[in-house]
Amino acid sequence: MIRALFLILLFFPHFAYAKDTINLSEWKTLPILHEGRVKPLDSFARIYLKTFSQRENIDSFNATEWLAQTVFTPAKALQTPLFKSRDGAGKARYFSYEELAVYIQTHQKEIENLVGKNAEDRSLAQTELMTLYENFILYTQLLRTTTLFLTPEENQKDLHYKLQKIILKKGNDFDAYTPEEKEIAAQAYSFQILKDSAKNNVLFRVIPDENSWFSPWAAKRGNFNPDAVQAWGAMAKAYQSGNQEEWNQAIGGLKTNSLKLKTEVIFNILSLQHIAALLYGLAIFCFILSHFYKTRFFEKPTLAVLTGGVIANFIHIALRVYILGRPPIGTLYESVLFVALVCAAGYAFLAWRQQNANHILLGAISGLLLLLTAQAFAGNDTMGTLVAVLNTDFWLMTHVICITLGYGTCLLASVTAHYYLIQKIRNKDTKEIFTTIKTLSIFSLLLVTVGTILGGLWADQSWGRFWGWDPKENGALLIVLWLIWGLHGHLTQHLNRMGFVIGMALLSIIVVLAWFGVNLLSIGLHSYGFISGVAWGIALFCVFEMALIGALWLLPKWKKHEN
Amino acid sequence: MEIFKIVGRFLSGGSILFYALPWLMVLTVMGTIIQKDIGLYDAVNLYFHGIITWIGPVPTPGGLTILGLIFISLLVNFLFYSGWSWRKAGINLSHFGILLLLFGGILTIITKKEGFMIIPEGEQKNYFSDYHNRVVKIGGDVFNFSDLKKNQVITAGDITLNILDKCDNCDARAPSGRYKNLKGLAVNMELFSTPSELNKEVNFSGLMFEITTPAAVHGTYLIMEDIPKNPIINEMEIKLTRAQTPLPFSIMLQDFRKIDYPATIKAREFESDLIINSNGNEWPVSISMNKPLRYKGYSFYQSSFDQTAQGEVTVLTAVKNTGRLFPYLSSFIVLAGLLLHAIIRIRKPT
Repeated sequence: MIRALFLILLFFPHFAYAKDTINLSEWKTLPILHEGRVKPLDSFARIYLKTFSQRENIDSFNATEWLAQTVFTPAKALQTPLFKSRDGAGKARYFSYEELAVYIQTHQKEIENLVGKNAEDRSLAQTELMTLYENFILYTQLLRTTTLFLTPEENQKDLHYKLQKIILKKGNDFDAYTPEEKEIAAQAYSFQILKDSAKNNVLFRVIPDENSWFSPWAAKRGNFNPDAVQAWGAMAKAYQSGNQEEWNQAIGGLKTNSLKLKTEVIFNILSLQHIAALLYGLAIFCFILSHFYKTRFFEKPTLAVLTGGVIANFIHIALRVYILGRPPIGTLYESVLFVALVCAAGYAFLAWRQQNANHILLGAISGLLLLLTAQAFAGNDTMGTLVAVLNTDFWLMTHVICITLGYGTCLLASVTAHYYLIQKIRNKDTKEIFTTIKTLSIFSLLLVTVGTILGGLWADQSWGRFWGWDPKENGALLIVLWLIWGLHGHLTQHLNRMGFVIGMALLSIIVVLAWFGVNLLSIGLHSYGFISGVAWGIALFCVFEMALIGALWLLPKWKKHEN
Repeated sequence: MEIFKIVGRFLSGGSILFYALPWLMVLTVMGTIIQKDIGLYDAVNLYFHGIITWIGPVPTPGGLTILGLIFISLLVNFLFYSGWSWRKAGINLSHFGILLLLFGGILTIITKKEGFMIIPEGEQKNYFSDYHNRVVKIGGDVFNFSDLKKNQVITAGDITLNILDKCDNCDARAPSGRYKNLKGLAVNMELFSTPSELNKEVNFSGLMFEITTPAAVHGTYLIMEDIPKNPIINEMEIKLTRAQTPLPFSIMLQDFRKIDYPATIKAREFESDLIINSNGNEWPVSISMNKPLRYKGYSFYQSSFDQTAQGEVTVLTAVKNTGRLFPYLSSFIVLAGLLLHAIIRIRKPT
């Protein structure tokens, strides 16, 4: 590892960073094949910057600028504080590649022992060490991306020829060489090591050739698409010298006309999920403002802000559908985005239909909290490929959308039930709210039942059984049973109005357990949804909800008792 | 007659459903969480398909009992107390759909046969193996492995087996010296019981026994699941294998393909090209994830694959289920009923 570092340092002059001189707007739209999908370099850069540093920007550089520096001027990149980890005092800070290389070298033995150990058997510190090691390997690959352009082809041949002459003359005895010959031998040897170590350099697949994509090293070795390899070489040279004209000329042949790639770059820049969250937050602020000044003047603008958030949320999902070329929900992250849209849009509709400004607040809070939750499931790449069993547009369009819509309407019913309990404390009229809860619970039952049945039909098509008592299936069944119990209980007068409302308020816990909780078990056929590390979050939510609903229920009784 | 009315009213009133549903939810939660510790197969039998579920020393109604109660309650309500009016049309239709769904579920539990086929490229098979049930075969006689007990004596032809030890999941170790007159594999190893795997399908069963014939005491042998070196006494092979269901046709694997996402080892698709041979007629069929093959009441699904030194091997799930169409039919009816109810409710809110 240290040798790799040394070699890169040896071969690369310390070029001045070319951030201000080279315009990377075209470069970031260039295609790269990564994790089974052709994406723009901009997306690739963002994924790896997040992987290494858990940030979207690094000091004053954005992700693309960081990637360009890494690929074209690796010697400079070696000193950039990039890798997030804890120092000796346990404080989180950013380490440079140079620092990390020394750290990895000193922990080499420990790493070798950990390689054979199961991930779940590793301690937290060991997991962290292995993550650092894996990131180190990945970054080393990126640093070596354009090392083939270090020395011109003729110089390489010349070096090789000179070395052969020395060996013929003086044999393999290194000590017999003159200092000049030693320098030639060291350079030739180092270059050979560099070449060999780049054999497996496959991370940066930017050279297309018929149906395959190659890294510059692999393309060079296999003689694929020499024009593109040459263009990348010219780009490296232009970047290092800060020559925009040469850069433009080099990139000219590689420019893409793909609307999808350009859209993805715009999608990355817009970051619509953040805009939606911001607008939901703003709607809450406007609502508070209007409440504070006791005026209805802000109501319409507040609804407009909430609607703006809904539109941003919707466009964000729609663009993902266009870019990925598949239905909107294939991962847990996408399901949360979708439910955020359902909740915010549902309350915007109710606010408009019932002319009730309180619904704006409920919609904004639900939307904002769900978008924040989505961030917890986002990971470094939110646009990954799906496992084989999910590769079916029909079932993703029917079962998954139906059940996720059901989750959304269940949460709407639950939040509205909370609202009912609050209004009850405030001695406000709750007739309309109760009707809304009932209608929402019937719609939820319809959607979740149909979604669960469709899931059964999908399971029958894929696994040969309609129902297998798999945790994910049981989770969906639990919601159906809870809703039937609540609605039937109220219909047959086993549950009074308050009992039904409390049941619907508690629905949020059932939904969260069915949606996220069962994935924590890491068992069953729905292995593509497994998650870890959120158990405490789910437990806290359940306890908080039970305490809140209990308090909202008991408070009026207590007040009555006091009087 | 009065007693029938009282019972009918009790069964059809909402009380059974109101009290049965929370218990069903408790069973669902317990049966789900416990899968992590005891595996799906045991959890299903204990909590969902059981008539009685023991919670510690306390017997409680199992999933099948609760579902049966709900079925009876719903059936009585549907037949005698539905109130056949347009306003209730949607609800009644949904109830009918749920009755069909429950009936189909019970039919499936009773009649479904499920197993797997492992077919290497170029080979054909005309049976599928059970996931859980094993059998001991002595010549043409077949004994259910789960019925066999230690010290039991079984006879096939003139061969008598005295079962010395049996393990559902075995670990083979060096002989301890407990048994004498060791023969065959038993010379080098002895079976020891180990805890069952969570996924019972991968358990490795075995049996130790003493063989006697009228002519002689042959010695102590052992057999293990799918180990080919079995004892042959009087030209009868004694072997332990998965229970097999014969098919009225054969399936040959022509080619198996695992198609990855470009530049990854993550599978995008699994596909098997098969040749079906039925009554002397042959034709090609391809199956893949989400695209099963259905023929003569059997369904075959692409479930897994393996790469061996000899080549690729496809693993298919094979199912014969008489109640297969019930979920489709009942789902349609439930959906229509719920939609109808929603429409009626929107048009004439109560």
